[in-house]
Amino acid sequence: MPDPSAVTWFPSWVDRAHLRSFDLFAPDRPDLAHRGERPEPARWPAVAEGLRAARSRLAGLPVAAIIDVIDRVCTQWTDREFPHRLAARRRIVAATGFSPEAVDRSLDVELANYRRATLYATLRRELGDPAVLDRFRPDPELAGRTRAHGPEITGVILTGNVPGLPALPIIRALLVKSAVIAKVASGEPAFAAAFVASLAEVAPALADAVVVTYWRRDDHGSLDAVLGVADAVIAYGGAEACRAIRARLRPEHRYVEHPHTFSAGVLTQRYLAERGLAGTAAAVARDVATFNQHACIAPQAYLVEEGEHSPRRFAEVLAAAMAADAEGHPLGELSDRAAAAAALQRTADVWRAATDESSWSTWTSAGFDWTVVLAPDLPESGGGNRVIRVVPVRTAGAAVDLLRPVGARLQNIGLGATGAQFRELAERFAAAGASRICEPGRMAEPSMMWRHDGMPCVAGLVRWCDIEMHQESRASEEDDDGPDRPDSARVSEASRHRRSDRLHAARR
Amino acid sequence: MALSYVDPAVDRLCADIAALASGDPGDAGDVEARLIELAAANFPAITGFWRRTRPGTGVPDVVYKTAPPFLFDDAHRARTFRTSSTTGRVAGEVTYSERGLRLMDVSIVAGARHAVFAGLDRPVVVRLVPSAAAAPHMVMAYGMELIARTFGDPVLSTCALGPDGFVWPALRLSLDSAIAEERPVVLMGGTSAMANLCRALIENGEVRQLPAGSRAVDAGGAKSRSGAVATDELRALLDQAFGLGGGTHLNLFGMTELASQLYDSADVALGPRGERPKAGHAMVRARVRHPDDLSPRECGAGLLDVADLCVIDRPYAVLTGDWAVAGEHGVAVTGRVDRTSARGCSLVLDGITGGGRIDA
Repeated sequence: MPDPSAVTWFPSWVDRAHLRSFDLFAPDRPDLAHRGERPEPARWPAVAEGLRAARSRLAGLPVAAIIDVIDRVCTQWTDREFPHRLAARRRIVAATGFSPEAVDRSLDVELANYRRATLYATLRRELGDPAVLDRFRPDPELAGRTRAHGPEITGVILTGNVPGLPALPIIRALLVKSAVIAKVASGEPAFAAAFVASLAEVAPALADAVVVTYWRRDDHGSLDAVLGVADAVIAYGGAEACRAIRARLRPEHRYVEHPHTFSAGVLTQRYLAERGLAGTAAAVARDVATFNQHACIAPQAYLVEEGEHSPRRFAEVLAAAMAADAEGHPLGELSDRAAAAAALQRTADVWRAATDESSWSTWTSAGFDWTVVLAPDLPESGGGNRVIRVVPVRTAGAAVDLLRPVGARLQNIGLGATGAQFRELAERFAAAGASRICEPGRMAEPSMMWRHDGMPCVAGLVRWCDIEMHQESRASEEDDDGPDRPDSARVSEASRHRRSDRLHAARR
Repeated sequence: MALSYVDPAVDRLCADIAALASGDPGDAGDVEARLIELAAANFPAITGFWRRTRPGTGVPDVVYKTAPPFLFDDAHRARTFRTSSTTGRVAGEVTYSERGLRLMDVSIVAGARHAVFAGLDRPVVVRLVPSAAAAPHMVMAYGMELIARTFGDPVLSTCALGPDGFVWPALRLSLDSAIAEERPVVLMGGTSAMANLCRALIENGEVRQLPAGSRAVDAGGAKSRSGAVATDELRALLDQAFGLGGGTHLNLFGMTELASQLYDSADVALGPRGERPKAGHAMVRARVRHPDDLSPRECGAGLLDVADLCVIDRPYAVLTGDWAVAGEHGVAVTGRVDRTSARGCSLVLDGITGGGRIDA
């Protein structure tokens, strides 16, 4: 039985004698200690050997069986009374300061995503035929066959900003039958291990292929050791963290990076007229409040076309919507550091509003639950914690020009426009660098199918093998054997195998 | 109605401030009330700011990056200093009128006399900051040069930091002459420069025992981005390099936006890295404000707000952007509030636009 207070997960085949205990103190919550274990850098090759063995069993499972397991586990997690979720929520609240309601909304949004239909759709979108992960499949364009292999081991550097998000890269790796070494973030270290523990209860064969641990950002020995055994790396982080990882990659590494990005919304006059100010404001408030605005997909500003429904009036209505949303879904408790930064930013905005009333206004909650700022330009820092700027723009097209300098770091656009104007703006935002465009109110709910950061994140992990120009490549009967069926029996069989063929790689 | 720079009321206010700063008895409360009136008359927006925050709340330091307030439209702008990059990627500007500059001089000299030079007669002042000529926009260079000129031995005192680093011949000459003549030395400079000098002397085997009465004053430790030096670490280096033992080191807190400085007032560690408390005095007062509502805190951590009655060219209080701890003996400044780091994976826009604004 895993330690419910631990932030790490090691399969039972790992020799515990080779693990060292540590206490983790988050920089923002120095009074909160988490416990965990990790191998010394020199022990990682032995752990990797065990992971490769677990991965070879994972690779023997049909992708349909893996999808079935993930669907079952994530269905459990969407139940707010699921014991693992209740325990994780408690610990996430303590670590992040998010309110329980904010954590619940975050987990609801994140984990509802990883269901059977979406997982299949994701694989179809990125790989064409999901069964290419099981065997060679016909490829009509090629007049041959094609097969995709995931990495043996994927190293994952997780982020702690969005409760539940660590499930995503772990699931992506498991879908391509890769073992995983995940490093949790000090800001929210609890979810990943809890998720894998729940996976172990449904399908030990999958959890056997996952290690969750932690090392400090400046522990280059552990990072190098993990990169040394990983074939692929998925990394979330800021410029400095990503640069440090990139500098240590080998040319043969597959690398998927999710750096910091900038998201915003745009509202045209026609959209406001059609949808109404109150409804639109409620939708925008959801965009801002979900994940406490910590996600890369959360808007830092909404750019509002000037006209009959003035940006100032919209900001006023938005303030009311933010207050209403916060009533049932409060922000939570900020750390000293975050509160200090928020207070300074808020005070500076109040100063600007006092000295330039025509361009600036602020609406704030009594605490830090929400802040709306009417401002002539974009915020310099994406501070999160539900601080949204409403920026007037002369025309909707000017919004594109305003955001163009963000370029390839432009992520998500909540595009409140209709008809031909929507189509024109969508084209322009796509050209400017945006990787997702959605309706206001849906910014926080990207599907797993979305090409996160503008790239295919599952396909980015696999290596293809094509058979072409060979007489043996013609279709056969087994090509009709599609993957879209549950196959939990085969998972159970793999789990029995695992017990009878338990590895003691770390001992070797 | 706005007060003119040459209004008799401003004359009287400046005279009273100068007298108070020089140590004459006076009514600091009355001076503060007149400064508030001056700010409200010449910069009416400040009343709206105080209404939305709290009366007397300092002007946020970031304001000096974009639209620095200046209270006298009719005053000649005598000198402009630039804020250090620790305040933000874009340097701020702080402008002084002739009167404002004179009041700053009075305050700098009075503060140094009281905190540093008591009992010393023309010591050798060694400055580890550039000369004012080399760094005309750096207020620390200006202030330390003024102090050296006022209190230091005119022959043996030196500026030991040049464009290429330490000016070793001048430094050695000053130090060795002081030792030979048994003249106390006052080392003054930025925290990092002082620590680097100590390390260099230790590494080169050039440690010295400075004459009795010598002391060191560093500034900026808590504001350094290159990694702040803990108080006790700096003291150990000073002891090793110069034989400066207990009771010979002070840290001062100053800002371009302020005319006065705050010196360590008690040798008790209050901050997490051993930062000592600064008590302030009649003319300059450090307060800690709770981040939730900007209410003043008598005890505990919060945002540093400094009210400096020697400031007449702009609102007299600054919300400095520092984190500080209030205690029995005063306020310890423990570091800059990190406003540049993104929360989560949302980007700091400053990072991709190079700190420049993107205008609509």
